[in-house]
Parts: sequence; structure tokens; C-alpha cells
Amino acid sequence: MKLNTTVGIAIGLVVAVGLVAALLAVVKPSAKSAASAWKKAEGAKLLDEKRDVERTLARNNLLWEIAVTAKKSGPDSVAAMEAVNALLVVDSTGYPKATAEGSRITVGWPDRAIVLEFNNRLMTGVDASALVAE
Amino acid sequence: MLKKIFMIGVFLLDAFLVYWAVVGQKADYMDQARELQQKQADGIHDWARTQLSDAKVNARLWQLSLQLLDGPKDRPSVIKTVKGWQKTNLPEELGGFVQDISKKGFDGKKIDMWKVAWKKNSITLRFDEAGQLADVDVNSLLGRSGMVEPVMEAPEAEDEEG
Repeated sequence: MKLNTTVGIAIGLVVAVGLVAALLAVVKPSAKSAASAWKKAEGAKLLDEKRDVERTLARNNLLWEIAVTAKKSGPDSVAAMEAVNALLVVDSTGYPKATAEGSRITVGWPDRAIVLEFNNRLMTGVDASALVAE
Repeated sequence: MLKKIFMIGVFLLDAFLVYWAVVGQKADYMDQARELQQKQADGIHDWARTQLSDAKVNARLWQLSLQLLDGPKDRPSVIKTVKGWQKTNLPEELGGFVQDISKKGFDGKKIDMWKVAWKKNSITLRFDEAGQLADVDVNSLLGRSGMVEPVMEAPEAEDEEG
């Protein structure tokens, strides 16, 4: 009985030392890397959110700049559109783009655009209300 | 008896170590990660809120630019429009102001400029010698420059001969 208890204590101590070693060598780094992977994934979501806001602001600014530049270059429609086209740099998505429809040209993205209105080769107005409505 | 108690103690220690290794460590690191994530999320959300809210106020200055480019160009009308507009759209409580920032050029002539601003965002109106609105500068709203400096060439050096 005495021997059994001594063996039990010895086994218990060996197991304890083994567990500490395992903790330091395997469990701790793996727990750290799991938390780090989680943080990376969540951090990426935050970065996406930040980029979304930056994209929104950049698009707004570009459209405002186009509106003001067109106004400054107008009212001649050719001069106004030249100024607009100079600022329109189409990216890989094919936007921003200028789409003509009757006497109106919509400039921007599907969810964010300004409208230039023309009449008799003159630019008669710029509707930037979509940029204010947000 | 004492040995038995000690043995039970050692087994309890083992059990605690197993728990600590498997659950405790992971929880500790995850807590730290969550805390950091929350801090960063708060920071980014604050930043986004400020940016979007600033953009809304800036939109008023953009609209004013369009309005001025559409309206009468003579100095008194423009200044009257701007001052009236500022009272309702960019009141002082918002940090809005209209300021005469005219200065003298190298040639001694007055460069007639007005600034409509809030915080560090502004548009600058420049009038020509005839008192007509010559330009509405929006570079500050685009973050390109804080202030518009008109191009002022230094007078050419006088010929010392003769």
C-alpha cells in the first residue's frame, strides 16, 4: 500500500512535469496561433470596413470634383465633357463611367452618380443630389 | 495518510494543468485577441463616423461652389450670397466662417480672395480686378492643399545698366 502511494505520487509528479513541458512546447504556441488566426480574420473584416468608407469618400470627392470642374468648364457641352472625361479614370470594374440618356449624362457608379443636363449643346445643370442624400 | 493526501494533491495538480493547458491558455489568448479587436473596431468605427459626418458638412461647401458658379459673379452679390448661406448652412456653432483673406501681390496689387470654411475644410473664392468671381478653389475639400496660393510671379530684376 505504501509502495502504491509512492508510485502514485511519482506518477503524478511525472505527469505534472510532462504536462508543463507539453504546455510550453505545444499547447501554448497552438493556442497563440489560433488566437492570432482569429484576430487576422477579424482584422481583415475591419480593414474591409475601413476601405469601404475610404472608397465611398473617394468616390464622393471625385464626383463632386467632376461636377464643379464641368461647371467651371461649361456651359459649352464639348468643353464640359472634355473636363469630365479628363477626370474619369475607369478601373478594372469598368467604372466610373459616363452614360448618355437623352439630354442627360449620368456620371459615376450604379449606386452613386451625378447627372449632367444638356440642352442645345450647352450644359444647363448638374444634379449632385445623390451625393447629399446619404 | 499524509502520503495519500499528497498523492491526491498531485493528481489534482495534474487535473488543473490539463484544464489550464487545454482551456485556460486558449481562453487567455482569445481574450487578449478579442480585447485588441474591440479596441481597433472602436477606433475604426469612430474614424468612419467622423469621416462620413465631415463629408456631409463638406457636401454643403461643394453645393455652395456649384451654386456660386451658377449665380451672379459680381463681388457684392457673391459675398452677400456667401454670408447669407453661411448663417444657415455653416453656422459658427459648427465652426463655420467667412473670411476676407485678400493680400497684396508682388506687384502691389490686391489679390481679392475670400475663404468659406469650417474646421480645416474650405473653399476659396478669388475675384479678378474687375470684381468678378474668377475662381472657386475646391482643392482643400479634396485634401490637396490647405490654402490656395495664387500664382504670383516675382517681378523681373531691373536692368541695372543705364
